Amino acid sequence: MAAESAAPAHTESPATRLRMNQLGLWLFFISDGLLFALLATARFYLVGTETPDELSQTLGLGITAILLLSSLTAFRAETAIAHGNVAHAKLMLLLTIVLGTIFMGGVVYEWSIAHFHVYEGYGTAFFSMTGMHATHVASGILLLGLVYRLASQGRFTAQNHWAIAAVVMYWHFVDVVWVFFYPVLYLIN
Amino acid sequence: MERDNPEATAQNNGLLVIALLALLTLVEFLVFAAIDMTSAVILMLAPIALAKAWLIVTFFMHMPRLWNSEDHS
Repeated sequence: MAAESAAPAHTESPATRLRMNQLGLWLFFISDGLLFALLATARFYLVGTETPDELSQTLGLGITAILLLSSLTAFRAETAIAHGNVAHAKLMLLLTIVLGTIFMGGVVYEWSIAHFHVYEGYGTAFFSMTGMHATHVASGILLLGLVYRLASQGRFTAQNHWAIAAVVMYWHFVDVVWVFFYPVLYLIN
Repeated sequence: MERDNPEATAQNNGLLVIALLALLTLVEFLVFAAIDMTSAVILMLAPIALAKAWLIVTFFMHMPRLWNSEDHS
């Protein structure tokens, strides 16, 4: 009994817990970002600024636009749930999933028509960078699907929606990575 | 009217940010299409990519909230 009463109470306020959650997520972004930075560096180490002429610039610009647009729908989903608008949040989550899937389709199509091979310098860089990024997009789509399902079950409110906020932040992180990968892979020649 | 509706104001801010991102992406593509010198392209694309990343990190990922004491979620 005495030991129980002497034990410190590890109770944090919801605001403190939220800030700790946010900080943890940002630490993950920094560590994951370093991995992507290393991949981008490897591209220059392997082939310098050389970029194959056969690379489809139209497709590159198109999938970039789609990913940027998905960031807007993700932002709208988070904003909507933060104001208690569950129906709009669900719609925007669904749109984000659709746009993410289209982006994935574009990347896979790019892989299928690529004239370079994985054992060439540029091919190694291209398939490694887009492959790692696509893995993150795929996991983001799965997480968006999960929070969509939870939202459908009425689990989120304006006061309690950290899961949606975290998944949306992850989605934006994936977008930030592409902001650098797009010029590194397509535009520098 | 929008001042009475904070959700609409926030959503419109998102539209503004995405319009800026689209514009910067278009500028990136035009730089690629118009300039032949690799070093010049890199010098122009790097700050544009950084500006785009800053927009997303600041307005979409709410990085300033890390040192803001207000509870937002």
